[in-house]
Amino acid sequence: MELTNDVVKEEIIPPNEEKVFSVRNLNLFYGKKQALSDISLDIYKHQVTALIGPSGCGKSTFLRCLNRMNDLIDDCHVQGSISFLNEDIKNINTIFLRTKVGMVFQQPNPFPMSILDNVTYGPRCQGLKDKKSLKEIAIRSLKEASIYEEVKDRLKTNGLALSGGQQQRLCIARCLAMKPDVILMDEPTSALDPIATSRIEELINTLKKDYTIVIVTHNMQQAIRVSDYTAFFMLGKLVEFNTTEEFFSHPKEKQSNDYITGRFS
Amino acid sequence: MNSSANSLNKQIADFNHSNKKRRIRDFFSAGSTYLFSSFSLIALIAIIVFIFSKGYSTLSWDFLTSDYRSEIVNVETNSEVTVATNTFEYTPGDNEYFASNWGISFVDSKNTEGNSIVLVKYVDSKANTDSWINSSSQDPFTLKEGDNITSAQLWTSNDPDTSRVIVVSSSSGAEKMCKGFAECSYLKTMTITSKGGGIRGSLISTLYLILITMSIALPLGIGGAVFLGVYADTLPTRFKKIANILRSLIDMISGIPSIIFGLVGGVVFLTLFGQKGNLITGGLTLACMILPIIIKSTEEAIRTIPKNMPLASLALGASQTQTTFKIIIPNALPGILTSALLGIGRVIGESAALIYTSGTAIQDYIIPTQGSASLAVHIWSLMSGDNQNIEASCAISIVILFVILFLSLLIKLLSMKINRYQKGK
Repeated sequence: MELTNDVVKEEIIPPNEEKVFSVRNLNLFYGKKQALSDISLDIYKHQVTALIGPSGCGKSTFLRCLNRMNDLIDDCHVQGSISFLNEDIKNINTIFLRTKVGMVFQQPNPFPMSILDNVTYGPRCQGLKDKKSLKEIAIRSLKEASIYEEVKDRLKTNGLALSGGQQQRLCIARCLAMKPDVILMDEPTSALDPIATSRIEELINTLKKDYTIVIVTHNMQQAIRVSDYTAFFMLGKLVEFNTTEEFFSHPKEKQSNDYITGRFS
Repeated sequence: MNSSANSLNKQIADFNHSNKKRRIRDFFSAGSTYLFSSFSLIALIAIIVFIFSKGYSTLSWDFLTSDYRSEIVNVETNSEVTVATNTFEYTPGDNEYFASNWGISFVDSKNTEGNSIVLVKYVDSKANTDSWINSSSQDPFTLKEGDNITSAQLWTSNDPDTSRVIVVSSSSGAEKMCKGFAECSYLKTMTITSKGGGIRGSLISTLYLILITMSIALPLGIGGAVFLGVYADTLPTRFKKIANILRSLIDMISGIPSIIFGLVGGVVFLTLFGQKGNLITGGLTLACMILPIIIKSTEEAIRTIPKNMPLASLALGASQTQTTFKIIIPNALPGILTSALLGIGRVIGESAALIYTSGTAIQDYIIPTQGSASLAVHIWSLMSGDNQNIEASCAISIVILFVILFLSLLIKLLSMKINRYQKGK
């Protein structure tokens, strides 16, 4: 399996593609239970990488490895190496890492405070106090998350008063306020209706110009619509990693083929 | 078709037959719950009705604001005697007696402890004479409406040799006192007693106790709850045992009778802060007593916060401490307020823990470094002597009930406001 992965990578990586994350032989255990085994995978700059697979296959766990959110879980220990911009993330302070690698959750989870305070939460935690520059950051992030036009007259209202889709875009804006290099999205649209979902997908397409995005999704159509690369996980293993086009048109592994056709037939 | 209909009819008949028994059983089971709940409701209502019927007549604004100790003022004259020569016009009401030569009217009344007294109902604006002085302070004395004349020594004539001396006192009633005043034109001395029996001092010392207790117990309790609810989870597994031991200790402590807190607090704090109990030692003892309540309900409030709220904060590069103070504690605020209310309720109602630690003496001028009775201890004092004063005790109970009602409404309102704000409405 590892061999195949390496072969795949050799085939698909254009030499000029810059790596943001480089994961090598990653094993992850919850207590004695192995949740991820021997994952090797690269995430490329300003590309959207989709992680797909059945429930419990470890794709969300893998995502949380990238900003070390798994550190918060007891009994969770990680073997192998993950390097972020050629620096092993074990050597990076978690707080700094999380300012560089933002995260958007499955459930929209704005804080119970005003829209403005929500967006400026990250910079404020880093010690930025100047109100003027905080507001500039907020407006820039809200514009980037294409929600500014909808909320510009009510920046002081509570973030939880927005609709679900708006809340999720607010969460994306909150994440963008930190100017991260990478945005991790853990099934960001699974709690949203189709219209809100398509707005988020449009947003992902515009954001990839400036940001690297890793998105976990259950929806293969969504993976096809938004992603450049697709990684298929199954039972804690990386089955196949390829460009999205190649993966969905000519899956190399039988498991991938079964999974794709099982859904589409 | 027909046979299946028949079989259904039979099934329905069978069901109805067996259902009869069930309905009887249901009736008794459900009936017993109605019965028992109405019993407990009746008991509660009976207590409240008793308290109100007994205490209502004593309750007044005066009762809340006046001193407990009655103040006695001896009035004398700076000349030989005070002479009443005028004739004043006044129409007294029912049961009111007017001494027209003095311009003073008297009524029968009762003090807050229930003894009969005579009150001055009306004083004519020109009735006071500037020869009356307060014998202890030597200041001029002015008789006011509402003053209680305990006794007065009056002379019928100016000449000490031929004059009859008439002594009137409040025990003889307003009519006799008025007669005495009307007969005599010369006043030698007079004793005025302020009403007394009020609970102002106890009310203030209760407020002091709440303030002292809460300012100690809330920060400590919230700190403990944050440790148990947030930081204990991030500890390595073997240290989690410590948190679990702590939790069971807190559960245990919340079951300890308050008299034991009073005993231990009395021994420990009194040796630490001097020999006599005062409001600060009382507050410290109560703080120890309500700490478990605050820790437990605050930890519960922290645990009900959606997990992904602090996670979102951490994912944005906030430290655990920033997350705790900016996200977790503000979100647990309604729970913290509720726990504070529970704590304040205990403070107001507590007597056993305070008897040793802040004393049972009812005071009028409250200094935190001196012992004084709280409202609940005031009740205890009123009921523990030979003269049990049920009326005043019930009146204090009404005050306590209303204070708690007011507090709970206030906190409900506050947490509703916070909740509403946090839900974005």
